[in-house]
Amino acid sequence: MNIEMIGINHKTSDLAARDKAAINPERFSEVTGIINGTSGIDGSAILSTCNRIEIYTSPRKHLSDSDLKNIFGKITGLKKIEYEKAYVYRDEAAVRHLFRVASGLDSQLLGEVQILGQVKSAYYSALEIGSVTGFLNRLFLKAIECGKFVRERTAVSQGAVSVAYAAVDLAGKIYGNLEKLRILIIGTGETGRLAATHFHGAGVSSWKVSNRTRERAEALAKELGGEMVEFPPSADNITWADIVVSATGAPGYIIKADDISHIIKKRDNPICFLDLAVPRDVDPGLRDADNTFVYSVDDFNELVEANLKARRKEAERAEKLVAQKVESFVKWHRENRVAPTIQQLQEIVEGIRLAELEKSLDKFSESDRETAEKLTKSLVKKIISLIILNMKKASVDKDDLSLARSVLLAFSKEDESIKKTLEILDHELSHQ
Amino acid sequence: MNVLFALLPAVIVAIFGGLLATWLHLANRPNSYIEKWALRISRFLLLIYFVWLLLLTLYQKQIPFVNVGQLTAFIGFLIWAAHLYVQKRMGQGILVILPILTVIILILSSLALGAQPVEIPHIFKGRMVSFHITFALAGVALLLGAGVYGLGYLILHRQIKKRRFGPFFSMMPSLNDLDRLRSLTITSGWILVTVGVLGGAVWMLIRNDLYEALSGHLGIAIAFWVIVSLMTAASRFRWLRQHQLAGFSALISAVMIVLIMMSIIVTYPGVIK
Repeated sequence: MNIEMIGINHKTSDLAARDKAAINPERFSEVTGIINGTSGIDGSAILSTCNRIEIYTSPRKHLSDSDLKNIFGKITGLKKIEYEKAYVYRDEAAVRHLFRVASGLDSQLLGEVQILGQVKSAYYSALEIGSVTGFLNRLFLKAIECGKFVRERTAVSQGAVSVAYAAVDLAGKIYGNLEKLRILIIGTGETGRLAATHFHGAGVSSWKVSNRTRERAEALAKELGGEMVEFPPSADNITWADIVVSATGAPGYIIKADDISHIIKKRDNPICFLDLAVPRDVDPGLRDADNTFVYSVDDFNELVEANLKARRKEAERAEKLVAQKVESFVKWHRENRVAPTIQQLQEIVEGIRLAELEKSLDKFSESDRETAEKLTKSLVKKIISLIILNMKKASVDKDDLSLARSVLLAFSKEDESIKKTLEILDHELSHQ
Repeated sequence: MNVLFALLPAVIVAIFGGLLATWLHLANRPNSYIEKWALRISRFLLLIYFVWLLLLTLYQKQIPFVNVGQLTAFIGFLIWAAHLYVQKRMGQGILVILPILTVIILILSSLALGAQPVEIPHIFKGRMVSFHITFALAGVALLLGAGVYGLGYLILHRQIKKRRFGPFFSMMPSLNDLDRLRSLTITSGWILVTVGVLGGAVWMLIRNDLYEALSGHLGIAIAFWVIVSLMTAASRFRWLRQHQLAGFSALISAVMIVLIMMSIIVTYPGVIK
């Protein structure tokens, strides 16, 4: 199998090193040129995300680890001490790695969905540049298929695994479709903005923003297409919303039960307070109020932990599915590598059959000719089938190409295409 | 005969059993691929169930409700049809298990009670009675669904309030979706029940000789229709809050089951000896 990969990820390198090594899509063409310019490499693809930078190549002969690492260092600009940490996988291990990556099993956030899109982008970019060989093409297509398959058959990507996203998830469990809901964001710090981004992504379009620094509230409100309101927000502004996300650094409660309980009672629809602040912004006295849901960071952490636990449980099943997909890919490859030998064997034997038949054609009557044609065809087919079956068996079950090589040698004539096939077989055999 | 009264219902129960096992498995291990197939099989089951009842109808030249065994099978079919009608509009998550379980129990009851036709009682002769019973029972099936969604709402509401984020929490539709499901089934159920009641009124006009025999059923039916209409109005005009409506629906469903049992007792000959 002619595949090798080198890369760094969140497990091997810190954020600074990953930032430095990141390859922007604008550089893909240049970098691919460097890789493919290396002697013996036919094609390559680059997967560059915030958590991993990986290069997949399709070499005629495997390069040594140090050669690969030197190329990686040259491309990424990492220091030797940094690129020495890079991991290298070859053949079946490289296939398994890419399949696990696409399935989200190698991600920092187990089961994350974005990585599948990033693998797709890596594939399309390589296609666009024209650096995808037939083998890399199938490898990436099968990896994408595996990623989809694993997510469809397991719950490894289900349930929020970050506090901000858990807030959106919980709101979804209460309201279902979030598009028509009204949201008040209190506090425009990192957490508040992140939650706003997630809710915006979920389709929410009606916003009010409140923040101690007016300018920041105005900026976020403009970004979301909403309205800026005073800080702290009035009871009317609080109860205007279906969801209130609060993430300020205030020392006391911003939302007090006594101020709003009487207004909440008049509402038809439930109101949900997502308190992402430490210390809390929302008076816990509201928890027992009718038609009101109140959640704090501790609740979200509990939800995230429960989801992560469920994902870890599902990951065991996902690993088994990936193993099946890898096995099927390896089987395809092993069957496929004897395909040229089979084709040439069929051509040679068919040539012999036709030549011999031609010689004796005069000795047959018209009706006997047809019988002879059928007989020789059937004879040849039966003999060849047995050889093909054994060649495939040896290749798939024992990863052994020596039979294919012997068969080709046994029938070989001075022919360029046969020489080429023999060269490929010899190369494969040298890896066994 | 054996095919119609034993083999076919047994096959249907077996497939429903398989479907129940599949959903119980899905509750523990979500798998969207298997879920898609489970939904396809659900539709296929409705078809087989329909064929069974159609054959029964052709056999006895009357819709199968002429004895209690047939009635339970017929209600099971209507519950399954109502479930698929709702499912087509909105996903129900793990709640699918409830109609499957109910239908299995109803078909098994039908097998135990015997669906073989007796001579059709004189009160069940005529087209109008078929019209009345079919529409009324279809409405009841949907209203029972409303009760289930109401109950589901109450349980999920409690879980969210109490911060219990277990498997039930993740497999249930959202609170709002449960409210919409309840509202959809109440409105559709009320329309069908009302059509059924009107059909019943016409039937009474045509067969006024039955008035005395059905007076008990008539009282129950009117009380039932008034309660259901009140519930529908409360839901439609939002007289109550979501969780109150959910509780009301669950309660009405429980009452409805009692009323149906009473109605069967007073209507079906031979139920009480």
